[in-house]
Amino acid sequence: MAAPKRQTEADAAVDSVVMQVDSTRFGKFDVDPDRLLRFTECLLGFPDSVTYAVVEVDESAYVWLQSVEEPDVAFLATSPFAFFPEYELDLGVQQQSDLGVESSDQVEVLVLLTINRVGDSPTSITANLLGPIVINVESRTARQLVLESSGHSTREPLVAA
Amino acid sequence: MLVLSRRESQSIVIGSDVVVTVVSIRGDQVRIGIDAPRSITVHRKEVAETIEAANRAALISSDFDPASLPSPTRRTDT
Repeated sequence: MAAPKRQTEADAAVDSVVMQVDSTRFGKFDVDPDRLLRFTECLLGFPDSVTYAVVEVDESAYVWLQSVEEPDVAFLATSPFAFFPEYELDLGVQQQSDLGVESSDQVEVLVLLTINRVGDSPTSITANLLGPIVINVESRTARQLVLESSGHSTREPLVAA
Repeated sequence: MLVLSRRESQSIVIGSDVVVTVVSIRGDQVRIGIDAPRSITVHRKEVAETIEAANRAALISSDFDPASLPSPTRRTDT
């Protein structure tokens, strides 16, 4: 009788449970379910990470995306619109359907940042505008789009020259 | 690798629900139509490789301090 009871409790807790995430950068920390992202398709190159915790970088435009499955996988991301006001992203009918969204207020967009280094010193920060991460803010599902014919780059300098 | 020949408008079926059709052949360019379920993403290989390389490059080493990141509200032109 004990096993089925545990299962019932686990089912009931699924929506509200705080998840503990183990990470190389932050150690172990707790994440509310509404700060998790589930990728319907993994980021290319990271097939073992499906779920990411979104961690704010204090009072900044940036967030960490910390993999739940792989402690040493963490990315920095930002909204592209803060740095690239002209950035546009047109979700096709199929992409809207894939994400389960109908209007733009259900969508949040993040782009991954790359810290380019020469030796130990960071030289520049670039944003991947070609492969934005599009989030359904209601279901907390996400996927990386590839804007094939947009002319955007994977290494757009973050600070205007 | 399976290699086979197809003419214009002929197709290949992969699994039960992916159909690849040779739409047209013009000189050294082949137009290909792909019918696949939404759960399967289709990219030009070089684009997929570009994105994968960009994602790997974006992995942040654990000693990076985000305090050095620029703020969008006060851009420092360099």
